[in-house]
Amino acid sequence: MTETRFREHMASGMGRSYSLWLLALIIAAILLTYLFHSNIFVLSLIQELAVMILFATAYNLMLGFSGLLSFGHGGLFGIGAYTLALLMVKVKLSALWALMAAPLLTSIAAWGMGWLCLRLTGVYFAFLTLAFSQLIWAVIWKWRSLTGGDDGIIGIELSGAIGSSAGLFLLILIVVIVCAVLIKMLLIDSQFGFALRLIRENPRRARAIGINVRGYQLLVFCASGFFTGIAGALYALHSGGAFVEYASVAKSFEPIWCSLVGGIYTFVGPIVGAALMLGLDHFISRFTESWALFAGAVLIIVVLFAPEGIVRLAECFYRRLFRRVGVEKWA
Amino acid sequence: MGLKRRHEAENILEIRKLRKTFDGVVAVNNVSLRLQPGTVTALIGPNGAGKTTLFNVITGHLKADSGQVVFKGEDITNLAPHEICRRGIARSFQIVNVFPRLSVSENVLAATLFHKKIGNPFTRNYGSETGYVTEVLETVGLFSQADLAAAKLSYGDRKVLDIAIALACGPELLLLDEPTAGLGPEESRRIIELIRNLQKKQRLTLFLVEHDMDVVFALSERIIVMHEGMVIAYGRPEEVRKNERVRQVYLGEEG
Repeated sequence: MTETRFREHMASGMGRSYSLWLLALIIAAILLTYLFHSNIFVLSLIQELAVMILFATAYNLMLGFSGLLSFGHGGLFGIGAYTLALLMVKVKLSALWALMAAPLLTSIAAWGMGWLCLRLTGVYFAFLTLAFSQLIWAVIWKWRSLTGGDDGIIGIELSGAIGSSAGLFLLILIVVIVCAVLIKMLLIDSQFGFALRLIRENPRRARAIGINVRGYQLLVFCASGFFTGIAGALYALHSGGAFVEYASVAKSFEPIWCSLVGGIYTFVGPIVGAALMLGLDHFISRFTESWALFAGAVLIIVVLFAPEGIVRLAECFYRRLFRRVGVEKWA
Repeated sequence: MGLKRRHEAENILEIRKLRKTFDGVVAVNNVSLRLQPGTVTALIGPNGAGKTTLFNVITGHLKADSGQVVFKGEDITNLAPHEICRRGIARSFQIVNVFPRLSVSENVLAATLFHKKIGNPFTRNYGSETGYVTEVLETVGLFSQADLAAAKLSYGDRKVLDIAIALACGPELLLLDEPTAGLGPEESRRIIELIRNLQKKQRLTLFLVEHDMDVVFALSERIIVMHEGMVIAYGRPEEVRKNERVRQVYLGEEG
């Protein structure tokens, strides 16, 4: 083996090979925006997709890249949404300030949640995060004077040109989300991401080579919370209000579904999962009310027959296809 | 006072009256011992004597009930494992403990990167570590398999990789928990050779748990014998071999 091959091998990060995929996806999204910029339904769908992509990739920082199964992200999403709504409606702050405050507050909440939950591991950790999520939901539900209870908070309005053009709002949304996704890719590709991968593979060994396991896990919880907070805040902006179901346990399961179906060990997995989920939601609900039934069936099929997700499955097909014609490397 | 200081500096590791119990069962009972720098010390004793527990307490994987672990004059009792590693104590494990889905070179790279406090964890400068990783892999003889996933190595090679990971932490004191367990004679010889080289060329202090008496007598300058949580003998190999109490314990086990 030559020295150069060795170097090449060591430099190969996890997310790097997917940057092309991602770029193509983003360009496609922007093109779609321009093609359909007069169609409010499509614009709204793409806005929802953008938020879901951000939420799912934020979530998978934990599940896929750190091996931490959290059921608490619905609560964090709710905190992001309610922070923006309260600041804009009750405090009358501008959207920009509210958008900056929401992820900060959410990551502080995530820190508190992580600080307590990370004392436990595995299933106990997962259930403690579930309890936290329920707690956040209950507080929003019961604290009527602040949160409006089951009425939620309505009346979030964007002023100026952005407010009057859904296309412009979507473009800004896409820019924010592309930046957030790229930052996440860099995180995964850095030494920080490498440490998380080592912890996921073998926490005991990681500890013995000098990695502060709990410190890194707390950091990734905060980072995941930060981006979940952005997603929640943008979703509140998109829908013009914050409602209690944004903080529900059902909300926690959305990114889990996206990650599992797309594939937790790839960066684009949750992105593909998010697209599939919204696709199912909107097209199947045209024919039947019970689209969740189909979502459940898809999850079962994927977990049984392609446990690494559909992105890995597609990769396998692609490789097999191209090996026949003698192309070995494609990514 | 002056005499005591000099005495302390002579020992790289000193354990004072260490005690560890599991739900009332005493695993390590008032153990005191000292290791001199640059030596190879073997820790032997029948199964259940508390050898691995002692290792786990030294490296912070288990918390001591009482007593002290002093490394280079600093009290490191009950520090977290990663903090102990950063101070210069690395270890290998009785049951092979590597990162199975990472390549051999990534396994070593991991230890190289994280055993020291890293400045900015959000950068990546793996390139500057290439030389060191290569050096470690060549030292242990795994360079030709650098690209393989650790899970694909033979059991013997994985044992070697476990030691290589510990070595890449740049330790002053290396703890090896049964480095030849489960290996054939050929592979055992390879590990013995490796340990000899480490001590001679790198002046490492080595502390090993070992069951194979041939390995113990081939390598060690000092032997510590534990039985039921207590140290029952300490000395040069020939002294320990003659020790009545040690003979009793081992013959009692076999007979």
